[in-house]
Amino acid sequence: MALGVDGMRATKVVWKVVCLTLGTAIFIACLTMLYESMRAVMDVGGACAAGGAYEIRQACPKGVGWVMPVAIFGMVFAGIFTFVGVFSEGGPRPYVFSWSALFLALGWNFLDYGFNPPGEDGTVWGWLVCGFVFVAMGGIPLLFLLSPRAARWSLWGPDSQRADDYLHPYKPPPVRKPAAAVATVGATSSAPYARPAHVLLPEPAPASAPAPAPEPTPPRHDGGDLVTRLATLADLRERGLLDDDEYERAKNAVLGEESS
Amino acid sequence: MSTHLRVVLLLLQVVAIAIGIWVGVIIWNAVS
Repeated sequence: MALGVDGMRATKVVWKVVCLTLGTAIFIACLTMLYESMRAVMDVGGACAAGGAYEIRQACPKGVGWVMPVAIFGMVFAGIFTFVGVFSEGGPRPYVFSWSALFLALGWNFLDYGFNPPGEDGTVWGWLVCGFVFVAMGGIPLLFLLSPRAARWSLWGPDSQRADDYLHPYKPPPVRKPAAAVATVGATSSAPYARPAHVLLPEPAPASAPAPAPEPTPPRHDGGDLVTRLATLADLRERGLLDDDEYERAKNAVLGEESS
Repeated sequence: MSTHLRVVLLLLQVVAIAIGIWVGVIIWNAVS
């Protein structure tokens, strides 16, 4: 585990952390500049112009002409940067909140200036309508945070996959009839693995009444049986009853029987 | 992924938001 991520080089972990953090910082910086430049435009009435061959009635405040496009494209660039830095193994997903951050910030400006327009009393209904629409567009998607699972996914990231996830829900190996169990143990006893005795071995018959030995029947090797045997092997290894070498040999033996 | 790294990433996001707001205001005040 390099720096807390399984199977990933330390340099890649550091690189992704830098991308994730810088992406968020750049996005927020651009959003702040867009927010401020929008307020500057609304201070002069909500519309302005710069350049061109026509007479300009209301010139744009200083800096707005280039800050707005730079901020918009900067947010797109930062979003991609952040997306690259997100760990598929877990961790926060800040890009999930970018849409809501944008529309709530700009919606707040519309509402603020709609209720308190500069240089006049009353309300500006055009800005208020824009404000309510923007707040709805930014706020409604945030309702997903009411779901604990979604909130956990976006802030904490998905859980790491456990090694035995493919066994869930775990089903113990089926208990077989004694005759089949004897045949199975006999057929696979050469393999370096064995199923738990309480599952496979029959109760010993009383010595006073020996029962005739049943004809051994070949073990069934349908798909379900193969999966069960492999699952049992994995379970034995996880519990420390088999080491890696024994597990590999046993697995190869099972697969060899299955293919033969 | 370890819990420590998740916590570090979450804290870094909070720090990045604070720094982003600060940098954005600084830039805007410089150019406006």
